[in-house]
Amino acid sequence: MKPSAERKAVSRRGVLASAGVLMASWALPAWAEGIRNRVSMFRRTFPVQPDVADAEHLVGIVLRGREPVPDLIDLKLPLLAENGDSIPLTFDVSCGFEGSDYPKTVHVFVLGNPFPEVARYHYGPWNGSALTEMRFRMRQTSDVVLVAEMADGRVAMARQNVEVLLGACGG
Amino acid sequence: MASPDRRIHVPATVKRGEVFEVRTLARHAMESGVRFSTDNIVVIPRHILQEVLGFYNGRQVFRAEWFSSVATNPYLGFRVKAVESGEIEVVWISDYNVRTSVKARIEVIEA
Repeated sequence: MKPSAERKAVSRRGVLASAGVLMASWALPAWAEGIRNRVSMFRRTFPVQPDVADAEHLVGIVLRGREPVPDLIDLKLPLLAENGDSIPLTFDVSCGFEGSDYPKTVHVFVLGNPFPEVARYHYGPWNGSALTEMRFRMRQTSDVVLVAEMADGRVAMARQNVEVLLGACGG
Repeated sequence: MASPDRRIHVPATVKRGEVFEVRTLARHAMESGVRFSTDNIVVIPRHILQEVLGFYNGRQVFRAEWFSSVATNPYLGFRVKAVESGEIEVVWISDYNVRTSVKARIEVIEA
């Protein structure tokens, strides 16, 4: 095997293929742009302006038309944050963790951020409790939405407004 | 790969069947990918820890997916139910697929 010849062939094809992928991503329809920009897992390096309506749409995608159960998520968040760089969040899902009575996934959304999806947490019956703590950034005063997808198909939602005096420049 | 920038804290002993807290702290800039550099020309590329995995005696018990908005030097606390003595391992995976991990020992005593 000649390494030089192989490298040459790979680079030529690789360049053509990546060009093709780029073309394909440019050709996405307009409605898909917002979804691609805000949901996708790939490394996103471009400034986007926050869009609350689009973030609500994202929450709707997670809910998939199911009616959320109230008062299942216990949310501990400050009402007012002087600095948006680090806002502590503690949440718990009140359920028994027996059988299918546990949250499979908990989504955290901050509606006023350029990328509103903050985190997803996955649990199993072996956790015993969904009490989780984290810290996140906020660009501006907005709602924080938590959606818990239970293993038995129910959906729980909690929402709280957080007033941010000095927003984080990232987000 | 152990690193001084990753820390974990678990209680030394727990009773069997009790739910205990795993607290972790990573030292990381968590560059969000939406900030401009100081000369306002280029966007600083995103570089975050995008996944955190929790293992209990080699079995995965927790998974977190993180996105741009997680704070710098991310703190994470989660709960696991004690089954048997062993090792808690937490693994962070960055955007460049670099895995860093820390381990902690936990002793389970009979109630």
